[in-house]
Parts: sequence; C-alpha cells; structure tokens
Amino acid sequence: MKRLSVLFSILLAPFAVVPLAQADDGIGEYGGYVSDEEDRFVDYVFDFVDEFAKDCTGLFDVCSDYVDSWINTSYTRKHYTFSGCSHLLNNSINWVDSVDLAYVAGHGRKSNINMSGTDCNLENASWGRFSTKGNGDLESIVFHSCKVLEMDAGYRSRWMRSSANQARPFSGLHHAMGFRTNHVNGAGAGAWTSDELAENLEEGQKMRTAWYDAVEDGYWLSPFAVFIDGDNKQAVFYLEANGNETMSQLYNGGAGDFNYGHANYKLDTYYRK
Amino acid sequence: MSNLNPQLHPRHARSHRKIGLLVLLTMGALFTAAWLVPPSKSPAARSSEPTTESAVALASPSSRPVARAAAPAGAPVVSDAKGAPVIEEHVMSALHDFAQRPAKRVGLLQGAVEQTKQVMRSFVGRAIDLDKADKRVSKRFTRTSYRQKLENDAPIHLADRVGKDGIFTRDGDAKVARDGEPVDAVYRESDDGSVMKFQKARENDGPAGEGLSEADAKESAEKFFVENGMVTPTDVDTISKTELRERRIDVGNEAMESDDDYLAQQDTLLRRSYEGKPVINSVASVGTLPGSGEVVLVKLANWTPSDPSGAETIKPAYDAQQAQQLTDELRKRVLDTLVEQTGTAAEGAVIKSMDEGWYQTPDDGLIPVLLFQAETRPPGNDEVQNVALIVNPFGSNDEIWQQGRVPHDEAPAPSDDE
Repeated sequence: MKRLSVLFSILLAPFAVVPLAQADDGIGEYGGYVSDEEDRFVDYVFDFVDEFAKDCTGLFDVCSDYVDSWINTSYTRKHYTFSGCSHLLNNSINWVDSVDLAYVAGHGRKSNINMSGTDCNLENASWGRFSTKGNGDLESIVFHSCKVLEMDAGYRSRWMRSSANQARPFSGLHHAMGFRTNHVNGAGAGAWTSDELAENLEEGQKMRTAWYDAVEDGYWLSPFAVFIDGDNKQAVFYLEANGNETMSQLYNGGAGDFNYGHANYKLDTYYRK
Repeated sequence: MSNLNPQLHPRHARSHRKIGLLVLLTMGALFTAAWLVPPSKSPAARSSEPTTESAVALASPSSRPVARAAAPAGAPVVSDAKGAPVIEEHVMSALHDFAQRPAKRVGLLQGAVEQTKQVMRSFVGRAIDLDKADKRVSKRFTRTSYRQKLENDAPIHLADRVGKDGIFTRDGDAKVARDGEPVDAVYRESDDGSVMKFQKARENDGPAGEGLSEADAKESAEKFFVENGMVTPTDVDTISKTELRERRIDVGNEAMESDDDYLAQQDTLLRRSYEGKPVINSVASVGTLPGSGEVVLVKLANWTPSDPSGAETIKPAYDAQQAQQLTDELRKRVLDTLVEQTGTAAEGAVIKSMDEGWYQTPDDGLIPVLLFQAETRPPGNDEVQNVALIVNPFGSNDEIWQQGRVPHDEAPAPSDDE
C-alpha cells in the first residue's frame, strides 16, 4: 500500500489539496469504523459505506442506478477501517471527528464499545466543534452495537457536559444513534438496517427517523419478531435544536453546534418503548 | 427448487452476469495492483493514521483477519469441553422429525399482488401524484421510490376504506392545506410489487395524548388491512400476532433531566402464520399520530394471499436411513449458519430450540424454513445473547439473507494499511 501511495503521490502531487479536519469544514464526508471480532460488523459497516452517497468515481467503482441520491450535496467516504479505541477517543480528531457522519460497529454495552478487543469508555469521548481534542467535524455517529445508548436513570450525564471543557460525547455533536437494548442480527436484519439507513438518508429523511425506521425495517425481517420481544430497541440521542436535520444539512453544520452553557444544549431522545 | 440443490435466482443470475463482466474488466487492474499491495497487517500492527479511499478500493477480501470458530464435523450432539457449538438433544429430535415428514411449498394467488398494489396506490394517491413525483431507483433494493413535498394532502385514517374502483367510501377525501412546513411523502414499491411502504414525514409538534388503547389500535389496524383487501386471512393463512409499538420522545432540560416523555407515534404490526407456523418475512404495519389519528405510515411486505390448491410436494416422506442422512446434512447447515452469523461468538454456543416456519418468495410462494434459537457469549460480554438462525432446508440460505436485495460481492476487508 505504501508503494501505491507513493505512486499516487507522484502522479497527483501537482493537484494535491490537503483537507483540514475542522468543524463544519464544508466538505461532506463519512466514515466506517469496524471492530475486527466478527464478520457481521464488517457487513454492517460495509453495507452502509458502500450504499451511502456512492459517487461512482472510485477507481474500480461501477454504478448501475439511475439516480444516486436525493441529497443535494456530495458526500464522500473518507474512512473504512478496522478500528481501536484511539479512533474514537485519544486520536478521534483524525478519525471519527474528522467526518460529518461516522458509522461504528462492534460489541457494545452501556456507554461503552469494544473495538478490536479493547473496551472504549465513551464517557471519555469528546466529539464536535468544542471537542477537548480540537476543532472536530463530527455531527452524527451511529453505534451498530448493543446497549451503547442505554437509557437508565441519569443517562444524560454520561453523554452531556456538566462543565465547559469536560470530556463528554456531546461536545458539538448533534446526534448519536444506536440501540438502548441488545441488538441481534437475525437472518441478516442487521445488514439490512445499515442498507436502509443509507437509503433513508439519501432520500432526505431526518437523521433520527432515518435510523429509527431503518431498525424497524430490519426488525420486520428478523426472526426475532417471531421469537423474542425486548431486543433491537433503537434510540437516538440528539440536541433538540438539531432534531430536524437531514443529511443534506450536516456538511455545513445544520442548525448549529451547541455546547454546555447554551440554552440549546438540551438532549432529547427519540426511542422505541 | 430441487432438493438440496438450490437454483440460482434470476435476480442473482443477472447480478452474476454483471459481476462476470466486472471481473474481466478488473482482473487486469487487479493484476497490476497486486504487486503494489502488500499482505494485510495484523490488527496489532495497524497504523493509527487515517485510511484513504484508494486503499479501500484495492483491499483484498481474502485479507479479512476475522477469526472464525470451526464447526464440529459429524460429531455426536453432546456438550463439548473445547467450546464447539452444541445442539441440544430435543432440537436434534425435532430436526429428525422434520426430516422424516414430507415437505411442500404453497403457491400464491394469481393476480393478488397487482390487486393489493392498486389498493396501496389508492392510499398513496391521497398525497402523491406518482406521475409528477421525484423518482429514484435503488441500487441495492429492487425498488423504486417516489417523493413529493406535501403542500396539501388528504389525511388518511384507520377507518378509511377503498372500494374496488379505487374510490374511498367515506367523506372528506379532498386534499386540504395543512398547517406548518410542507413535509415529504415517500412511497417505495418493489419491482415485483410484493413490498410497499408509504410514509409521510409528518409529526406532532409536542405531546398529543396517549393515542389509541392497545386493544383499539390492534383491532383498527387489522380491520384497516383486511377490509381494504391488503391482507386476506383464511382458515389456514392467518394474522398470528398483532403488536403495538410506541415511538416516544424523552425531552431533556438544561439540568440534564427529563422534562417530559411523550408519545410521538403508534405503529401497529401484524404478523402472519400459515398452518400455524410463522411466515417470517410477511408483515403489515400502520403508523398513526396520537391526537389526530392521522395515518403517516403504511407498509405491506410479502403478504400475498396463498393458494392451497397450488401446493406442491417438494420432498416425500423419508425412511429412517434417508431421514438420518438429511438430519446430518441439516445439522451441519445449522452449525455452519451459526458460525457464519456469529463468528467467534459461536464458540460455546448452544442451540436451544427449533421451530418450523415459512418464507414467502416471489417465484416459489411459501417455502419451508427452519428457525433456530442459539445462546451465545460474545467476547468481552458476560451476558448470554440470543441469536436467531434461519436455514432454508431445501435451498440456499442466500435468498433469505438477501431478502430481495441485489446481492453485492462479499464485503472487502476494512483497509488499515497506510
């Protein structure tokens, strides 16, 4: 890969532009971040990044659809990578916090996700324009994982700041999407969900209903609808002021970034009971 | 569909032809690329620098480093100290019983798909003019989406009924100007007409009460689908379960507390059974707003009326030896499916139960499927997780897994080389 990079660097050097990782940089980008434990995590993330906003300009990419998207904005894939905690925490500014939308898959539990064998405590994450790591770009993040968005008493305190520079995920972040319960991939329902999320976003749905409906469609196709109640319950944490945003608004900041102390720094949750 | 010899679905065949052409075009490129791409590093050796798109495009699927548990090969079904997955004895008995009995597929009523589609389009027509709407063909799902911004539309309610002429049988069908910002309405229809979903992006501004009682919601939803001819129950083809699901909004305040928790939408889901066994991909769903009772979501998927006279035997009753052979084959299929679906979590998994069900296909009608429930312990998680598995006993699992989507190649490994 280094040889490839060198070759491309030589060929493209005269035209190179280095994008900066900064808040609302006006560049529509998304990324996929995969824990390496199970194939299904790869499937979840790949189905999203492959489906979403395909620009048909990749080296070996061939598009067959007539109309790619109803999003009036070009989004490009920046990352599709196996990840560890650093991509979400210490070095987030170069990874999840350098794109507008991050899609993450791995085994999860309350405010925690295991990435490639290491538990990542998401209470220590800080994403968005006011991140403790720098001027982040992230607006929306998806956790295709069990229980990361668990809604126990006081759950907001794990996600929101109680002081201006505290490390908490909502540091300018607009939406976090995932499951408040276990998520189970019955008969491909998981990958169906990530496919549907991409479609829903491309067709201009609000971020929160796009995720909710994508999970519902996955549920319909899951045998868990036959077997087990109580799993696969989705939740979306979002700042109230950002609640109606669609993907076409995210690349330039949508309804705005809000931090601790601002009147709009209020976290609502759209969820299935 | 032949016994244990899956036919390539026409949709898959088209895809495979396309893939064939792509393979020819890309082989040369990959050959050129091969000398450029070093073997994948282990996860521990991964760089912490971001990965570029060009790296993704050239990644080799075979470089995928995901560990997989090996399924036991032909071993007796007992607990295994080495952590191999186990099928409980009573599940094996159920499997053997299934293998002995004859199996059939059940045809679908001719013309029913078109009839149902017209009913659905009558409802859609109260909001969207399909001839004027934006149109989009999905590259992944075999369906077309139509979208229109609603300046005015005729509200739909659960009591609405459509006559055979497509005319609604109640008053108040006129389109009316609505308060607030115009919202999108989107209608999706699969190419074969078996999956349809109509949705308005309309929401209440705030709390509007607790909506219908569970009993009323279920009864109204069942009548909505049955009396409009979208679901046609018979003695054997029935609505097996109706479920009310609530979308809610937990409203926070600046003190990080919950100010309110209100109902945003009620979704009522109907499930289907045939001869008492679930048809796993059939679903009807209707969503309503509390307060106004306006219908903002209608979905009907794979619920085409069955035609028992079109039933066809696909496997005769087997003698003991034949049944044992099929049982062994199916046991391996179950374990392979478990490993394929759960990876390392298959280690130590226990398959706890088996049920028989059906799966509606566009071409073969209702086909038998086997549903298994496994308990697994994913790495890093102390909790037991339930995993559902489906095996298509007389064909490929791929059709069930894809559920009508256009298959793509196996997901390439996420690229981590820099």
